[in-house]
Amino acid sequence: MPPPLKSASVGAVRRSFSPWADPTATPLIRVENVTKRFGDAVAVDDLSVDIFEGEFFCLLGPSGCGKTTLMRMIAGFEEPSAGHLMLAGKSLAGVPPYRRPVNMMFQSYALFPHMNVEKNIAFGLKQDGLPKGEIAARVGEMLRLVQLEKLAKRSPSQLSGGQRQRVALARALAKRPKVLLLDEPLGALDKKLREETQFELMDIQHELGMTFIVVTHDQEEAMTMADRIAVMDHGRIVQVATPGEIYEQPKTRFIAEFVGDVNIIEGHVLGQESGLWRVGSNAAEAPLTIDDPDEVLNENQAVAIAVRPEKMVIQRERPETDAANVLFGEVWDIGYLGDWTVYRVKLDSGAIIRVTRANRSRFVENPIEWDERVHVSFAPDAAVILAE
Amino acid sequence: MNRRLSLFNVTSLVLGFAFLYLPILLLVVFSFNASRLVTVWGGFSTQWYVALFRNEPLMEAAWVTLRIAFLSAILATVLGTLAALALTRYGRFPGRTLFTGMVYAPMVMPEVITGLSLLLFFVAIGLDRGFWTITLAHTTLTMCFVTVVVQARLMTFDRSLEEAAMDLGAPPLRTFFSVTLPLIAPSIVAGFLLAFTLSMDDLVIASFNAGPGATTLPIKIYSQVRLGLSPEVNAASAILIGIVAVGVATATLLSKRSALRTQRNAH
Repeated sequence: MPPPLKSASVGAVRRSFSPWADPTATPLIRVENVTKRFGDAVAVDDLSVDIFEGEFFCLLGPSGCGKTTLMRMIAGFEEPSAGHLMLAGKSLAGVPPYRRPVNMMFQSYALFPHMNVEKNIAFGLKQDGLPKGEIAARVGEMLRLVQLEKLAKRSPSQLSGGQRQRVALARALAKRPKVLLLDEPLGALDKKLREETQFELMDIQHELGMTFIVVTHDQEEAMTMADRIAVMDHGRIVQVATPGEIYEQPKTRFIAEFVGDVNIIEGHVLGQESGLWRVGSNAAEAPLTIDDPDEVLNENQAVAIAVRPEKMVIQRERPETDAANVLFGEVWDIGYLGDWTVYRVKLDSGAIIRVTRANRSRFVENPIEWDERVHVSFAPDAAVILAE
Repeated sequence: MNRRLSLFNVTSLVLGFAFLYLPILLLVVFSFNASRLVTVWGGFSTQWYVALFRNEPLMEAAWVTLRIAFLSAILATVLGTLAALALTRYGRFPGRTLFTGMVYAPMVMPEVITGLSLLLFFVAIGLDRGFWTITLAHTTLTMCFVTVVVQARLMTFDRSLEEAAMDLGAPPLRTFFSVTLPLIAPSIVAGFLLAFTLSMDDLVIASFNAGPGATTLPIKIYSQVRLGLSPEVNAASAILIGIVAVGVATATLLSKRSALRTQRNAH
């Protein structure tokens, strides 16, 4: 079997769907140089992004990065201080929330406490003045979709957290909006339920072919569900890419550290040899070889090398291949997580490196122990160079 | 901390309640007195209640009082709710603190001054004193109580409920009537009941602004007592106390319940 193309093998692809790569495709939502100020504070700073029809799009970032403000501008609860928002080619300027073909699922769910499940779901349809029969049919359809047929007459206070989340989803989906906005949709659920619900959301989105925009601070959630992730920081988008690219090709140190675990090795560029960068670092004796051809670097430039813990190998003996980058150190900590074991290795330079190993068998002969001298190695294409 | 009732606690509790309620209890007990002498117990009888309902001037005054209380409470509820909405919803408009203080002023203003200033105002604009002047005066007095009750509810109101309604296609006015109003209704009713009872037992402001043909029950009772105590007045007062107690208790329960509902929904 021929090796797959390198550019195509970055991360896993959920399904073959990439309208953003097609220059002729028109976006469903176009955010153009949008800025939002609250007094002196800038919540969203000259931000531009295109979101396409049928896309599951995640806005990911720490709290206060402006992701919720961007979502509220799309919903119509805030007007941009500058810039344009377009939906299906039409400007959204001055269009109030009740006239936008966009619905939102609120973080608090915002279920109407004085209405039962059925009436909550029917609320939006009633505003459209649909005939009673059709409202009932659509409510029934929504209840089936979120598997709540038996609870139609319950009031929200009689529901569990997971059930409320479903009602909120059904209510927001009932009007079949062009775009569904979800503000931390799984934030209030416990871990097990959250994982199940992630896949359910993906199925529902796929089934309805709707465009979903999800705001979340949970990178795992974003990685699981999204077609594309926009990582935000300080009101700007730092990178928009597929989950695989975000994880394997992070553009900045912030992204590398925010999404997943990463080891950062600081160094300086020595030069380029047959397409590979040579980087000197006091963490390693020999220069490190990094395969990251897209970077444009100058000699002596300070860089950070990012290596994910699972892409490093820990062993007692020196690795045989010359191509591998090798660091020396001693085991500082061992954490057994069941599926993974985490080793924290203190390098001779003093830096601490995290290495994980999948526990593929139940018994390990002669396992690596605390305080042992070890070699930590990684392949040239396991690392990414981040310009400082 | 010792949370059990000690002898000291029990004594102070009993003394405190006795101080507050003994006079009222005495009044209610003597309204069932068979004797005409107000201070001497002559056995149980309901004759004064019967006499009260046959006493036309007193019944007339009671009817006027109820109408005034009802009308002024409705006016106060509408105005007070609007004021509460303005104070909680329109963020930081210039003079907000001043406005808040001014809304609450009638609560702390001596009633004599409120009554007198309203009297001067009505005379100045040439409004004849009577039913309507008392109604307006009571609206002024009770509006702030409605504002306080409704504002307290609005402070804990989850704004995302209104946003959700708008997001689902309801314009602002429809959002208000289908989501906001039903949810703050208990506090509005509580405010109405407070305004109603306050208007019903007010003597000072009513007597400043009363005119011929519009005598309220408290004014009537007060003037009768000056001519000598009558057991009928005791009976009338006992009924008044009953209405006020029921009103205040209902208002308290309603606010409690709506607060509970808010809490339950937050979890």
